[in-house]
Amino acid sequence: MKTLVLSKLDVPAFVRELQKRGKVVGPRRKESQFVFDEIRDPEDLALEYPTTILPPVRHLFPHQERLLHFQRKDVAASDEIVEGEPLILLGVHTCDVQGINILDEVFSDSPYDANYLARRAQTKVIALECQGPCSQYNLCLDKGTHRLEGGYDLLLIDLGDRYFIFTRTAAGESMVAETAFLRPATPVDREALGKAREMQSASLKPRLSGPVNRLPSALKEAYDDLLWEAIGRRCLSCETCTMVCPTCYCFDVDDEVAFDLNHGVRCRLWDSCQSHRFAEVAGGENFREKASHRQRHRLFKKEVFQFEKYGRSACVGCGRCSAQCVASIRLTDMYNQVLGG
Amino acid sequence: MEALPAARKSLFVPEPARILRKEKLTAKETLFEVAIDKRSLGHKPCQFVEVSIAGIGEAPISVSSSPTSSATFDLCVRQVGSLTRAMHALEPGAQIGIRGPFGNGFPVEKIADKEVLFVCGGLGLAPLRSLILYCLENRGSYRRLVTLYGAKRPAERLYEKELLAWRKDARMELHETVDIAENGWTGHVGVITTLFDRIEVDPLETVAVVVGPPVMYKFVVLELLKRGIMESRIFMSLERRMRCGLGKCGHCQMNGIYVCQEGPVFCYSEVKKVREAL
Ligand SMILES: Cc1cc2nc3c(=O)[nH]c(=O)nc-3n(C[C@H](O)[C@H](O)[C@H](O)COP(=O)(O)OP(=O)(O)OC[C@H]3O[C@@H](n4cnc5c(N)ncnc54)[C@H](O)[C@@H]3O)c2cc1C
Ligand code: SF4
Ligand code: SF4
Ligand code: FES
Repeated sequence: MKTLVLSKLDVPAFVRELQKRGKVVGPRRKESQFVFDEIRDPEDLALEYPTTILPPVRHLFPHQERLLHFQRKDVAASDEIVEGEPLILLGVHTCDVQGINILDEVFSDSPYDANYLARRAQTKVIALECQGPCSQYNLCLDKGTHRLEGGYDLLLIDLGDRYFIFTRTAAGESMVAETAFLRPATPVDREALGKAREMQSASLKPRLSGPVNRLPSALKEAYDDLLWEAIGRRCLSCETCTMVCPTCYCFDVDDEVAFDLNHGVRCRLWDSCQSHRFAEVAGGENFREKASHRQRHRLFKKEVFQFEKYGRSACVGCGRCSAQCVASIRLTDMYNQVLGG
Repeated sequence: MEALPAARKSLFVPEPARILRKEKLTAKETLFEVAIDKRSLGHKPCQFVEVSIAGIGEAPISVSSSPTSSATFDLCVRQVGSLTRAMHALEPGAQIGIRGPFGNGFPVEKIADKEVLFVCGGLGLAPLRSLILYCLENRGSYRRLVTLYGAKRPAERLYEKELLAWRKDARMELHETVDIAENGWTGHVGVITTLFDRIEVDPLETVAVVVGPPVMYKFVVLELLKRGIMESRIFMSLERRMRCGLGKCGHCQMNGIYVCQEGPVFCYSEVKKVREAL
């Protein structure tokens, strides 16, 4: 591990260095909000940003992904499409890095998902610690995602006029190897880093009324609570909460036929457990008929089922579902209801 | 990312297969005998495949033939929607795509030396036939084979010729019922649970295998428990809409369980406490 310092004045030069290695995708302004998009002009990069609308992991698991080319007359001529290009995700908030780690775990679980892994294998992640709350709904302190143990190649921490950089992987080392404008960190930088992190800790507030590790059992106890019915009455099943979530990965598969009616592509598209038809089976029976069932399933998938399978929550506390919900349903409120206190 | 496995071949690519024979079973169901071009399917009873028609999509269909007839396999398909309609329009010689087999299949070792009671409702005979045929082929391994089959109407009975043969077959007992008697039906009338009065089972020796529409399970399980059959000896195949068959797309999820991987066959004692399972 190396520790380096990048002056904010040199960020454009750093971006140009990175562009030599692949497509750079980072936060940039879009009207009054921010999105993760390709950074062609380094001036477009906006590293001081609140939560983006969609998480950066959507560049690894796109809304529509081609799985195979087919010829209608000849199945043997179906060609798999496993795409990927050198990609650098720059300035990823730590909670979103954790979101990528979670999809890595899910898609590399047997059987492997070659489509995701092919993109992932060519992707480098440059993480960025938030200095303070980036949204009024984030739960990163409760979830412990304001700091990271790994899952990135480089980590940036804002020290005001400069960024402190930790390298984590060989790929990260190579990204900073021949960059004249980076200098090794000094004791002064290290002291500034300590101060910045103290300030960060002081500014982040816990939002849960009880310990986060009680969520799996508290949710299980609350399975039959009226809470779900109450939420179901407000929920419009618009699917937004799942579309913006960095750890939602359910999908549908669909064929698109070209105009010649012979060629086409089979695609996977994001799907949502909040849609009414998601859990319908043959004959029209539906195991999660009501919005209340579906919201409960969403939270259980995040906090109970994935916990039982992988020993971790699948909510990284980014707060997007709460911020974007048109019915003002807040994840924190639901969690606090089940945690009590 | 050193820790992640290297990308391998996409699991979404179907293998070319050919329809060898087509036999109309009822107005809505047709039997397709299929062979994959380059290998045998190698399935277990009650496993399923994803059938693919390029340009239309995919649908999960149970393998309906015994695993021991390895060169080809049977699919019994009800015409309900886009894929199944397109499939019904295909003639022998036509190509389809196959992915699979998927799912856990039936744990045949758990029924050895037992009295086996098959309970099938409607299309449930399609997957169960793979197990029934397997058991008939290995008849010596079982004390007794009993099949209860219920269809809505006489004209909707699947595998009519085979049912007739089974009726005469000393190796197994067959009891049938229909919900609505028509076309000169002289047999039993009533829902499938009414057939239970016609059979004696030894609760300590019986294993039950249940496949049918979702509504059927609760009623049948109740009958089985009433007769003292142990929860751990009641097996059932649960149906969920499936897209990927790979434990990823989330459609088949039943609480934390991915039915496409860990099912579709479950033991009642395993799922009785799983919410949204039955
Ligand atoms: C593990 C598993 C095994 C299966 N095995 C078989 C099998 O052996 N044979 C078989 O025919 N089907 C089987 N099915 C059901 C089959 O996968 C569905 O019927 C499938 O959706 C049909 O695809 P489609 O594109 O033709 O219909 P779609 O276009 O997806 O559906 C059209 C419409 O019909 C409705 N519909 C779908 N299926 C049924 C049904 N069975 N009865 C009444 N309405 C329905 C749908 O709700 C929808 O409204 C199995 C399903 C699973 C999960
Ligand atoms: S965003 Fe809100 S209204 Fe829409 S599905 Fe989610 S909880 Fe329901
Ligand atoms: S559930 Fe909500 S807060 Fe948690 S990761 Fe998903 S969008 Fe973010
Ligand atoms: S069918 Fe996709 S997860 Fe089971």
